[in-house]
Amino acid sequence: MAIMIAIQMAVFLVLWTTSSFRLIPTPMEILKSLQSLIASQNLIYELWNSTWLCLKSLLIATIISLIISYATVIPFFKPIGYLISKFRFWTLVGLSFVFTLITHSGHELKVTLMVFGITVFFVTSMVSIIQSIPKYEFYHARTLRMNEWQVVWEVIILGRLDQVLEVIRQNFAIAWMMLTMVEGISRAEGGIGVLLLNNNKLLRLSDVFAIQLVILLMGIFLDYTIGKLREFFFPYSKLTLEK
Amino acid sequence: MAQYSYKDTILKVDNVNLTLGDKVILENVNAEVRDATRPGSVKGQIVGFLGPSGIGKTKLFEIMAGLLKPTSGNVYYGPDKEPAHPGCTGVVQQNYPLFMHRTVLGNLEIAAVKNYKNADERKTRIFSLLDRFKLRPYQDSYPAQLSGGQKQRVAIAQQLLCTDNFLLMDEPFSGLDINMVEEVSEMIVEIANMNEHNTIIIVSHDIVSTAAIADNLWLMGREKDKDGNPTSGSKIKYTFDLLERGLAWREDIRKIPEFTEMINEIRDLFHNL
Repeated sequence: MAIMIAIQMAVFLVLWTTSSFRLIPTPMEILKSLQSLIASQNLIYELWNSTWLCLKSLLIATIISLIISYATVIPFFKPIGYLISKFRFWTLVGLSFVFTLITHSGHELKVTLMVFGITVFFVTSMVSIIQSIPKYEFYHARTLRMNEWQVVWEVIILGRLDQVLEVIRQNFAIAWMMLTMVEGISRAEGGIGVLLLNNNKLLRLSDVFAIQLVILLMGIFLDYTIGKLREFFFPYSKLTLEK
Repeated sequence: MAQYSYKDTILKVDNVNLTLGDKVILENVNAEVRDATRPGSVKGQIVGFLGPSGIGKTKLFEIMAGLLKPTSGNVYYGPDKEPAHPGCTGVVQQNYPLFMHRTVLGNLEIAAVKNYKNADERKTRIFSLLDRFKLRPYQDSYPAQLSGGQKQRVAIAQQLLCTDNFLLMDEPFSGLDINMVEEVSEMIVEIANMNEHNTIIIVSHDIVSTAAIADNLWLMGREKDKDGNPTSGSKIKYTFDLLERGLAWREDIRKIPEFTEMINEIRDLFHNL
């Protein structure tokens, strides 16, 4: 598998370097931009800023989403989970004004926007996981003389914990995608999104590509890390999958 | 013919009806299991519960397990007539559900907690079952790492840890090869004979394997008009007392001509259930 990826990457790089299509900067130009971005535009600091914002928002959104999703096992809370999942189709841009009024700083505004954006997707995924638990799993727990709270704990919470990490992984990707937009809505504190938008405005194409490459690689790295955490904490989660 | 006598009623299905929407699923289902005793040996009860697909066996199974409330009627367990409720009987479902996030040992631990408060006693009981079911080498494996047969044994062991005397098994022979069917049959007989009041009800399509180990058979079906259309919900239409027929508790049962005759009789009845 690794050899296959290496070969495909090598072919891609050769095609890219030798391509006569000059609109896309060459790998060398991007590398030079990367150096200058690190030296003069604080790329590493901005990347850390954005990563921290993303992880902090993800953590808060995860806690809120899990509480809402688990609550949907009680019929009273079902409509709330359903309603929240429908907010996926509501754009963040219109919300920024309302959130600006209720938050006290640019950072808070960005976190609020990110948490909202992640929560609506997270709740959708978690509610779907909970609703797809087959009846026989609940029956099984009940035949072991568990009361309804123990059934929820064992079947829904513990039994689906590995899938929560997978949902976190998917939502991290959504959050990482939203980051540039949110940092564009509130430019306070900077961040890699602001860096990208500034360079895009000045049409510094090689800088834009360099930043995008950094965003892509950081996203892949964090995605890989979350995947490994799932394997480490929940070794059973991959046992049924074909390698 | 083995000497036997019937004593107390230990399970009673009393006039159970189930209607879902406007569809009558079960209608006036009545059945009972009585403690069959044999002088000088411990004999539990094994009831084979047979019927065509879609007849309502699973619904009655769920009602007997206390997992589904009937529209009317009740199921009672034991001489004290305890009404069915979740956990009143062990249930081994067809697909052997286990907690996938727990190891074999973890699955047994959580099942044993309610019945064995003392940790040492619990451990002793769990390890005796692991040994009995040849599962000791797999105690740290997750269910996803086990074969179908091993999962079934873990599922049975799990239920034995939290049930007192009753075990319902849904299609225990489904998908097993001949050797495994024999092994599972032996295991069921052994579990039944661990205690005089042990009662195992097997829901199955496998008439021969079920009849070979049962002491009583229930056949579920519906009343039909002359054109073959059902005119009622399902009920226990026929019962076979294998003790009375001298066809229970016998190791050579499959070689006995009367057994083959009875199987053919059941097969004929199946067409009109």
